[in-house]
Parts: sequence; C-alpha cells; structure tokens
Amino acid sequence: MSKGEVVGLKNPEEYYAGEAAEDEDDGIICRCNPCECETPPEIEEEEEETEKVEKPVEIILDQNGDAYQLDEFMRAKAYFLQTSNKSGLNLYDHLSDVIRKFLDERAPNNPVDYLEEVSMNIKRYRFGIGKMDPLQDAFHISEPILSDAKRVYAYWKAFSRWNEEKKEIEGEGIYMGGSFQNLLRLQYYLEQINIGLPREEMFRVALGIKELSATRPQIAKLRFWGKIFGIQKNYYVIEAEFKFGSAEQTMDLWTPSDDTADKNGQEGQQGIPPGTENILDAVQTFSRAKDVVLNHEFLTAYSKTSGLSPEKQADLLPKPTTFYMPGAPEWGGEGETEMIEFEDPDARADAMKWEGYQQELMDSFPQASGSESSQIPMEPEGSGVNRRAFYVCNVLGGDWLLLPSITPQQINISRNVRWFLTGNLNSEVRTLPPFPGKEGHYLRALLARITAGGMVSPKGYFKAMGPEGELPGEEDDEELEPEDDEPPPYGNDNVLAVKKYQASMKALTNPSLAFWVHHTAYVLPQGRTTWWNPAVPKTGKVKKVSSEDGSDLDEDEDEEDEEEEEIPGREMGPPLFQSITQDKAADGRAPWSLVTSSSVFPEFQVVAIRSNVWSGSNVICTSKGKVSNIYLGDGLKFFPRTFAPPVPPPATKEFRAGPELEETPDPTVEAEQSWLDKLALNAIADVEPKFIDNEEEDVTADEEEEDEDEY
Amino acid sequence: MDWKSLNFAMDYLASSGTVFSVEQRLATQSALTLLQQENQFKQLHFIGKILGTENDYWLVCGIGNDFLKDRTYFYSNNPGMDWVMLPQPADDTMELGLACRGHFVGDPTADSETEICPDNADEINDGEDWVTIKEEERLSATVMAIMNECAVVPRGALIKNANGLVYENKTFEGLSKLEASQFHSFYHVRRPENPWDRNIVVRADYNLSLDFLDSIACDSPVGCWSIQTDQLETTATLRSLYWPGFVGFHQLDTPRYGWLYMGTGKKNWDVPFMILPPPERLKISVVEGGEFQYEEFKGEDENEAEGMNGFYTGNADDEQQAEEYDEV
Repeated sequence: MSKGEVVGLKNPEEYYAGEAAEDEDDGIICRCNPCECETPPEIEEEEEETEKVEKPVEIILDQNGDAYQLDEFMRAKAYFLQTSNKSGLNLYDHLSDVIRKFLDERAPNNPVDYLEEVSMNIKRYRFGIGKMDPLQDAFHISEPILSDAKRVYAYWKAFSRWNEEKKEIEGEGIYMGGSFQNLLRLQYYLEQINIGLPREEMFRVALGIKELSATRPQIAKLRFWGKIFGIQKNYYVIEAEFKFGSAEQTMDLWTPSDDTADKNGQEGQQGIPPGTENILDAVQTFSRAKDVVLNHEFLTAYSKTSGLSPEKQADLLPKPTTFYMPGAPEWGGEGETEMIEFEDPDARADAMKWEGYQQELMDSFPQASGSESSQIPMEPEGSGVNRRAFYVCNVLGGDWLLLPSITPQQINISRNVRWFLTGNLNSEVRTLPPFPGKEGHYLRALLARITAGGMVSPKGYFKAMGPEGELPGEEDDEELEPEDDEPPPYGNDNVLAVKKYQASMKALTNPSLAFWVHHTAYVLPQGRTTWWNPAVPKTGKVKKVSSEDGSDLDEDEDEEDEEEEEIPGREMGPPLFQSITQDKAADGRAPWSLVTSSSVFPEFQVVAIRSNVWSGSNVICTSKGKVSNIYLGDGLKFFPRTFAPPVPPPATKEFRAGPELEETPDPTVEAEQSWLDKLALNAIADVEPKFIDNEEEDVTADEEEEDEDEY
Repeated sequence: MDWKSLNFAMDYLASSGTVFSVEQRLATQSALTLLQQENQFKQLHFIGKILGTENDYWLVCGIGNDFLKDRTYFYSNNPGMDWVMLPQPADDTMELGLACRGHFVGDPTADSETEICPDNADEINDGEDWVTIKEEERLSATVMAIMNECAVVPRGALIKNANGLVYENKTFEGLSKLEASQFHSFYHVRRPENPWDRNIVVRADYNLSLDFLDSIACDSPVGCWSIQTDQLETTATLRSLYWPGFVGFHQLDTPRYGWLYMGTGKKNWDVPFMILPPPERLKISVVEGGEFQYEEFKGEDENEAEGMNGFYTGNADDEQQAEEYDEV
C-alpha cells in the first residue's frame, strides 16, 4: 500500500490537473478529520488513503500554486507516510491520532508536557496491549473474590435477623453465643488515638467471632486479639478461653503439614508411633552391622535410651544368637554359647579386653536426656501460658485455625531469635538456635509472649478469679474493695472485668502511669508462668502439680515462703496486677507511652497506653470505662542492638576410640591360615598369634607366665 | 503522597493499622495548608510519623519543581500543628543516626547515643566509645534514610522530560494486577544509585523517560520487600522489612498510590537473618535479579569489567553514569 502511494506521489501533477475540482469537498472534510472522534479507525484509514492522494491538490490551489513548494510538501509527506519496518506504523497516522486524542479529551492541561506519554500510550493501544486481550475482555471474577463473596453471603444467611423466624420453625433454635465485643465501637475508639483497622475488616472479624461462638459450644469467651503483619499474608488473631472440662479443643487444631509431617503421618498409619525415626534407623544400622561385635546387653542398654516401653524395646533388639568374638570366624557352630573356654591365652586376653570395652561402653553410654530445658514440662491446656487459646486466620472469611499449645522450649527459643512471620503457618523458621516447630508454633510463642508482656489495663478494671475458675458469684459484692485483696496465686491470671468500672481520666493520664497494671501472668525465664522445680522429679501428671502449686500458695503462704528459701534458683516474676511503672525496657527508655485523643473535647477523651517494647500493642480506656487491648504490629520485639545469631555449637564427637578403631596390620595369609588351623584343631598354645597388636605383647607375655604358673 | 490526597489514601492504609481521627485530619490539613502557602511548595508530601516515648514526630516533605531534587523536610513535635525545618544531616551523622540505639524520645534536644567501634580495634569493650548526637540530627538522618530506602512509586508514576526534570505523570493509568505483584514494578524515589541500564536491560518495554529510577527488585537481600494484594484484589500493599512501619499502597489500574511511615524510626538491620527467601521470590531473582547480580559481581572486579565490557565500567563509575544520564 505504501509503495503504491509513494509511486503515485512521484507524479503529483497528474492528479493535480484532473481531480482537483471534484475533490475539493473531500479535502475540506479531511482537514476536519481530527475532530471526528467517533470515526472508527478502519474507516478513517480508508479516508486517509483518498485524502493523501487528494490533499496536495487542494493545498496548492489554496496557496496559489507554486510547483516548487508542492514538490517539497509532497516529499515531506511522503517521508511522513513511510511505514516503519518494525511497527508497521507511519508517522502521519500516528501524529493525527495524537492530535485527535488531545482534541477529543482536552486533557491533561499543558498538553505539550505530556506529548510523549500520550504518544506512547497510543502506540501501545495500537498494538492492542490492554485492549485486545481476550482474557481481559472476557468476564472474569477471580476465585478468591468469588469464594469470599459466597462466604459473606452465607454469613448473612446464617446470622441475619430475617432468618430467625424461619429457623425457629425448623426447630433449630437461635444461636447461643459467648460474650463478644462490639468491634465497630472499638474501632471508633481506636480511631481516636490514630490506630485501627478499616471498618470492613473489623466487621468481618466480628462475623468470624460470631460464627466461632455460635458453632463451638466449648468456647466460653472470645476476644479480638489483633492483627499481625506478615510478609506474604497477615494474621488475624482471636483469643479464646474454653469452658472448664471441655475436652473437644482439637476441633480446629492446626497441625503442621509439609513433607516431614506427612512422613510422620504415614508412619503413624503403619502403627509406629511418631518420634521413633531414630530408633528405626538404629535397627537398620544394627542389622547391617550384624557381623560387627555387638552383644545383647549392649543393645539392651542402647534400646533403653529409646524411651519406649519395654516390649517395644525388645522389638528393637536382634534375637540373641551366638556371641561372636573379634576375629573369630563364624563357623564356631550355632550351639555355642558365650561361655567359650579359651585355652589360648591370647584369645582369652582378647576376649577379656573386649568385654571390658563393652562394659565400659555400657556404663558410660551417652543418655539422650538432653539439657535441663528440654525436661521442663509443658503447662497443660487451660493453665499458664496455655490458658488462652488462639484462633488465627489469614483471610477474613476463611477458616479459623486453633494454634496448638506452646511448650516452654518454644517460648525460650523464640526469645533468642528474630524472625519475620511470612503468613504461612507451615513455613519454616530457619533460625539459630533452631526453633522446634513451624511458623505456627513460633506465632503461638509470640502470641503468648505479647499477651504476657503487652496486655495491661487500668488499675481496678480486672479482678482475680479463683485459682481454678470458681464462678464469680459474689463478684458484685466484692466490688467495693477491689484493691485490698491479696494478690492472686502466682501464675494464675484468670481475671474478670469488674462491672460498672469507673475510669478516672485524671489518674489514667498521670504521666507516671502508676494506675496502669498488668493483668496477665508473667512468663518466667523457664518458659512457664508457674515455676517447675527441676530438683523434684515429676510425679504423676503435670496438671496435678500445677494445681497443687496454686492451692499451696493460697492456703499457706508461710510454707510457700519456706519452700522458696529452700529451693535454690527459684524463678520469681512480678505478681499479677503490678503497676507498669516497674517495667523496664532494653534501651533504658520508657517502656510505655501515654497517648490521649482529642484535645478539644476532653469529655469524650480516650486514653491509651502504647507499648514501646512490643511496638503495636495498645490498650485504650474510654471515659466511660471501656477498656480494650489490641495488637496491630509486626510481631517484633524492640531490640536496641543489631541481632547477631550465636555461633553454632561445635560438632559432637561421633566415635569413641576403641579397639575396633585401632589400626592393626593385616595378617599375612600364612599367619591367618595358621591361626585358623590352630582354632579349628584346638591347637596348642605355643603358636605366636601374629596379628595381635604389638602393644599387647607385654600383656600376653604376662598372661602366659600366669598360665604357666597355674599349670 | 500529597497531603491533599491523605484522606483518600487512609482508606487504603488503614488495613495496616494506621487510621487518623477526624480531628487529627482537620488539624493537620489546616496546618499543612498554611505551611504550603508560606513556602510556596508545589506539593507537600506527608511522610508519616516517628513514634517517640514521650512525643511523636510528624514529618512532611515539601516538593518544588523537581520531584527528586527540590525537597525540604519539616517536622512537628506537637501533633502536626507547628512545623520546623529539618536540617540536612552531615555524612557522619547519617551513619551515627542510623546506628543509634533506643527509641526516639520526642524531644529534639534530647541526646541519642550510640556505641562506635574503631576500625582497628582488636577487642570490643561494652560502653567504651559512646558517641552522643542530638535527637534532631538523628531524626534528620532517619528521615533521609527512609526517603532514600523506602519511598516508592509504581512504575510510570514519575516521568523525566527531555530537560531532566522529574515530575508526576498525569497520564499514568496504574499498574495491572500482574505488574503490581512484582517487585520490579516499583521504583525508589531517589536519585538513581544503580547503573542506569540495570533496570532497562530486563524490560522488553523499557522507556527511558519512565525507567530512570532504581527498582526495588535490586535491593538485597531478595525478599526484603513485601507485596500483598488485598482481599478484593483492588489494592497492592508494599511493606519494607528494613523499616517496619513503612506501608505503601497502589490501587490497581488507577493512578492512585502513596505511602506512609508509622514506626519507631529504627532501622531493622537484621533482615538477612530474618527471612527465608521463598521459592517464588528466588525465581523472580533469577528472572530479574540474576543478570544484575552477575553484572554486579563482574563490576566488582574493575579491570576485568573494563576489559570485557566497554560501557560497563564498574561500580566506581555507577554514580557518574547515573549523573550523566541525569544531564541527558
């Protein structure tokens, strides 16, 4: 097409003469062409073709025809009409499109400044990017949005008022729910101190809480704990307290799932309890090492370290068979027992040596007891750090997962590492010291620590309940003397909000912060809220111990004091309801900051305390006495220095030097043959055993002498 | 982002835990209007706030003709009412300020201290060499670092014209969902520090007037940024792991974007120990970062790089090249 035009344009005078008069009108239309915004591009191109041919005619006529000028003009236009080999465009069309776009849209202002971008966009659209994409043109709603909409719709179906009548007819009854907060009101108060979440998110969380409390009868109390930001996803956390004695807490329990977990699961299906991997490997090792010296006692000692029941320990052992001696050939016969009579003193010495070695190995065999910290028992569900349970979810509207109970080891190691949450409960926590568990466990440890360290309330807002959850029947009567009570038993943070709490704004805004107290139990360095005495071997169940602890403390404080004096290294934390003025931050600055809301309307003021140790932990108190804790942060504890992971521990020694590792020269064929002959024929003792190590010669010589003496 | 669009932007930033009360918005708006009027800024960007133990610092940045060069910073010690100009940090305060321990207090005249260790010291004794700087100096160092390392825009939001002037692109139409989920679609708002060709060699559709900035995909380690899209897939949220508290957003397919810093003002230097580069991130680094890293590695050995590659002359000349390109 372009060629044809160029050829045609070489002889402009030809059309110039003939068609000028007829095409004048067309020419005028062509000039106005940029204004016709509705002209589809294809039609426009056709018009341009004709126009290109005819325009010069008109122009020349208007300008009172100069052949020389015409020639220049035609050349310039021919140049503009050159079609690019690369893009297939020509400048003439492109410029007219650019001009038309500016004229059509009259935007932006100062169009000359945006010429390049407009030009670029036109080129892009000409190639169809963003317009001709069949995927984009087709109607499509992505899967997560769709499932989310379905879920929310289901909520409405389930919870909205207009379904209640219908349900009553069906006999299902109205939902029974535990107590939960008014999250939208909470959001309003949070907004006063410039934190919070979008209302939509708050409402979705409220929906989630409502669903949980409606469908899980074992839950006594639910509270929106906060939101933790991760790299890929964020966690919304709901704190739950279960009713006493409810055993069905495994309903939504999150279990780590990945390759290793699957492996464990498969093994579990085969009837082998998880955690026996090492022992299984040991069996294989033993079976492979059949010909190596191992006796039954030795194996028994080894299997005792496995921690299995005696019957299973027996399974680990190879069947007691012949007692093989080092260097002794196997052909000794199956009927032979350990009581081999060695007439050869060398062989006997050898045997003695081996027995001694094995005895020594058995005596000093390393026990897999581990360090002291690994022995600290976990606090049972419903007490201590595991008193609260936490439901988490990544996407509001998704399933809420219950995090498993936390062990003291996990808490302790999480204190020594810094790690970003990714948002995937199953992702790895690759830290040093190695964290025992997946990110779900790490998150649970964080939640326990933040709860212990970052949850405070105004003094007098919470009141301690009985050690094992006596129902607070007389709570209203005792309301008058809340602060004179004895401190609650140590490690028990079972607290209840006092009804009709009157907040004194003046006291709460006191910069000394003396009127704010912790209402959660301190987590000891041991990783428990109640101290576990490593000196006393644990008897019976852990649950019993902890409850006894509590009652002891309650009944006889004197006895407890004595015990404290007796036990060295007892870890003591601050008591419950200790003022936050006692807290210390790692950098020596104030650990808590006071935030007040409006400076204009003190009547509606909201007071808040912000933790500087756990950035993101906030507690607010309104003038009407509504108190709420919330955490909105990254799950990072403030750390004044830069973090340096510890140097890895030295590699453990694998082998203990023993006779089987000593280097000995191989016997010559003759020597070996003679030795075999000697054994086979029960030969007489005056043949020198060549292959015994030279160092042993003295011993053997002595023994020989002894033998001779005996004889 | 310009403070005028702050109200709007807060709808998107609220999901990261930051909300402003009506009262706060009103007060800040009036104060910033006056500040802009006094200083005749073309734009006045709201940076965010640094949380101190007693007071917070509110931070804004006034922008003149050029988006990258004409900048003036202000801070306010009472919640966004009275504004004081922030001094430029000296080179040594820049390092000291970022190394300071502890929280900000909220008092510009307070002391911030840090421990320095001489280069040739054999053993480090705790508390031996304490250096004290004023908190205002530390604040200015922190703000510069945040602006340098955190401030991001989606690709195409800023444009450089033939005179080298950088300004906002009025024809920016937003990133698509696919683009917005990738690190190389977000650029640092700073004078480029990487070689000028580092961005464009990996883009088939490069455009010199758009791709003149450093992409955050070049930041190391891979995965030191977090990009999430929200539940309805309308907004991409960026978060810097080096500066917890930094949140950026971009509403997909619209020219709306912005960012805010709400944090302790302490850089998290521990990022390399704290992340596990996920496989998809690693994949991105292979596709986009791999060649960079390779070239960077070449660049360290200057002689070899000069010998092998004429126009890539090693790290020492990077800045020079960037400036050269500035002049073009």
